[in-house]
Amino acid sequence: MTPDRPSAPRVPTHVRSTQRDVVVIGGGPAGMAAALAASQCGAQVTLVDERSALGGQVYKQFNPAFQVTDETGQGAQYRRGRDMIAAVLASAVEVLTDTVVWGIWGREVFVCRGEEEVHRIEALTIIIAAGAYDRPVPFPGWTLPGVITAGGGQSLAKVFRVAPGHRILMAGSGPLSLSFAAELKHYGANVIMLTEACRRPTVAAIWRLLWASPGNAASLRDGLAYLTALKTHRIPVRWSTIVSRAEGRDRVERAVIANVDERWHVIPGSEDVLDVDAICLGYGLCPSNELTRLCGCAHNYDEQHGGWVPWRDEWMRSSVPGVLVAGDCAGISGAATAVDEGYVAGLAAAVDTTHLSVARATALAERARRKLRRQRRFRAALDAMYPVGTGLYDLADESTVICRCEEVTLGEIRTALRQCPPDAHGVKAFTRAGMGFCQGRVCGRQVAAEVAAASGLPIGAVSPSSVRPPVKPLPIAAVAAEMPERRRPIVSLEP
Amino acid sequence: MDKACARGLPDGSVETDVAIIGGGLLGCALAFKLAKAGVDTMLLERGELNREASGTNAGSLHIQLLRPPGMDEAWLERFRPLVRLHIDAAKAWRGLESEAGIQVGVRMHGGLFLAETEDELRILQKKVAVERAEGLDTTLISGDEARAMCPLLAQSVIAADYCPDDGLANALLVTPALARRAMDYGACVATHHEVLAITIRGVNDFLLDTTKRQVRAQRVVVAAGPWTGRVAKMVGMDLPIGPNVLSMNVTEAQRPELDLLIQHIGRRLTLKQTESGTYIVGGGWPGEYAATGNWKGTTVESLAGNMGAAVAVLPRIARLRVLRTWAGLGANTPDWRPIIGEYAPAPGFYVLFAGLGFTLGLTCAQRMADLLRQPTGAHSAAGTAFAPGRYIESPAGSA
Repeated sequence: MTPDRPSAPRVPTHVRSTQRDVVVIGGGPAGMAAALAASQCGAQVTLVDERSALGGQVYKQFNPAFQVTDETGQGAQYRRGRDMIAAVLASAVEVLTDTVVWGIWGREVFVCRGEEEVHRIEALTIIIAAGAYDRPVPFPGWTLPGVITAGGGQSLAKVFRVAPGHRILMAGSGPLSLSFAAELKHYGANVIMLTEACRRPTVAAIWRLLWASPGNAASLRDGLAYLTALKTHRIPVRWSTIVSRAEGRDRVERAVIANVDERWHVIPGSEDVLDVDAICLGYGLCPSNELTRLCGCAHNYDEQHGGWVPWRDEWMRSSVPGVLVAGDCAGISGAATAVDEGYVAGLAAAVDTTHLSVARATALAERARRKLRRQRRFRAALDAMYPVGTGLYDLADESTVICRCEEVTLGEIRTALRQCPPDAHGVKAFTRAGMGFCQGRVCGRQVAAEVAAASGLPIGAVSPSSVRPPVKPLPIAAVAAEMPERRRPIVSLEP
Repeated sequence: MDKACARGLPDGSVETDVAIIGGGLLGCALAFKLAKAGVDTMLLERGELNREASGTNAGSLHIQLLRPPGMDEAWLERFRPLVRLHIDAAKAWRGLESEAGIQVGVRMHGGLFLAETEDELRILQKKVAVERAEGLDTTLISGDEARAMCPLLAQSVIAADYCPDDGLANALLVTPALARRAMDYGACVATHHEVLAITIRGVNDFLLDTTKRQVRAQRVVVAAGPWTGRVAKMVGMDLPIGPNVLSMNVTEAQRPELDLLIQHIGRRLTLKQTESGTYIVGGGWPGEYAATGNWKGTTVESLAGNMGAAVAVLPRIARLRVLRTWAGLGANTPDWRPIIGEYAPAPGFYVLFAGLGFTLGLTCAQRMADLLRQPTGAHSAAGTAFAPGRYIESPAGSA
């Protein structure tokens, strides 16, 4: 449901305001493509990213301390990212890095720059391209040092050329974890095994993938390259296998792996122990949907695409006028899709800000739309190959910490659910799960799974707890101001 | 929590002695007190318990008098009759955890009402005089004395009204815990029972249509916070209850460093550190409301202003980060007093409304429990300061 929300906030005088046609949130592939497209049509565009450099996760570039001497050796993705970043920087797009979007009221985007200054950007159109984060999968020992997300491992390797350990287990599911393993190996890390929770693909599944591959040759080629890399480097791949436990005193020393059934439930007695000093977890990604939820966009639950994904029309418009969504934050689809979605969203923003006619936009978008249709077919075939199993939610035991910010265990959550209202807010109120720094990004899904189990509902029927500004922690010094008081107006309770 | 615990009747309805409408602090505290005393009680809540003001307020226990609304001159006289209630509230909160056998984070280590200017000091002096005259334990202390109690305070603080009973409790836990205890004593707590209509069938005979089933009650207590007026209207009663929206903010956690409730006579500010180490910063800065979806939101203006007030007197706060803001509905009467009493034209129909609902909730519920122990009608025309009759233009009721 989309509540009828008031907008147009009164703003402290110290807050600098600018007016722009389009604000794009997120400097990854989707955001950059959107910003470029809208800007090329003549719209005034501001592109905001919380990191110090553009690129997002997938196009993340080396730390500037490294000089790249061999560009051809860095892979196609690196070059695609580098070229796109260069194009954005050369364009008329205003780029604000080190800038966190912490609130959106109506179409006013509030950012905090460099932890110091709050700015307001009044936009005619907002494009949210906030990307995704690693799907959190709690299991006993997952909080031990040395257990990291694939994305974290990827950042270490990409930005700083540091391997997360000497004996690395890559555990997860799907093509991303495959690519991470290959990538880590590329940087010289010692990946001792890749576990894949899904079954080894059947011949039929591979046929379906090939059937969907026309026009997706690049994706297929990437996948084959990853597989070849694993073969070349003799990294064993174990299918239908999951990490069920991490053990160690001060950091991870052993990984317990186990065979799983189709739905990723551990088959008792199938456990094996591996000596490792790092575990990279890559069970796919979850959309960063805080901003779309904050804006009141309608969402649907789609486990395969990472959870709650915003509804969009064919122009990437959400259910909220003036708010468009592109890339992985609208459902996990990968970088290629993100670029095309971003492009279409950028055109739509240009239309909405009267810089482009609908007819022209339709013509311009045609090629991207065709690619998107192909990618969607390919994606569906891939998803069929790598169905996310509900066993993911059954790995933790009662003593496993689920909410890492507030250190709330599964046992505490289950105890609360015997007394509190059967919803995310009830668990939060009783246990503090979701009240910490990450505001539930890490624990929210397991909590939803527990609520679902306690109330006999599917997880998609459990609403996530509400999103409130600031969506990222906001330095008080940046926002505090001497403000005149107003009387609180009497409000009407009648719709 | 839809326990089919009330007495079922052949026609599918249920009957109870007292039906309480509203699952906030007042309703749940009353249900607990009645059930413990052996009264047949059914609580009806339209959604889940504790989802409105009782659970969204900042958890402050304001034992010393609040800051004057609008700072006009009449405020102290309006508040004078409330002091007794605040004294009772301190006792009620101090005794709550042992009385009910619950752990809900009640901490009463005292509080300071700060002044930074000479004008503010003058108001503070009047406030202390009224409080002390009415028997509340407060003391005017100097800025240095205040800083000795709380070294985090800014040099700009020149005086403070100190009350040893100010404190806080965990607003998320108090009401559900009381509801649970009420159920332990046999009360029926029926969530997702929205009252749609009330039929007066006679003295001490009411029929409540709810979204789930019909409820026959001998007596009805409406304790629906901001919606109290809407429910009262079902029996033809007009109450001047004005809802408003308040916003609150919570910071990242710090090690324990502040155990006082900090308020300000000249700025909208309440501030305290919770058990979990976070600071909750509030004070009545406005939020926004959309009746469609019962949506409450915060504003940049209130966030900035509230933080500005906090930083002015507790500069250390500036180094922290806000993790979350939220807004909740509050409500008040024109005279800022609670409504506790029976509606004369409908004997057996009672109103329980606190205004400053969290602090005064327990003690208002206690007064209602006391009232319900007496025969119906005995108090309908009583001229107490809190009877609903004061709003009704009839010979029966005058304040």
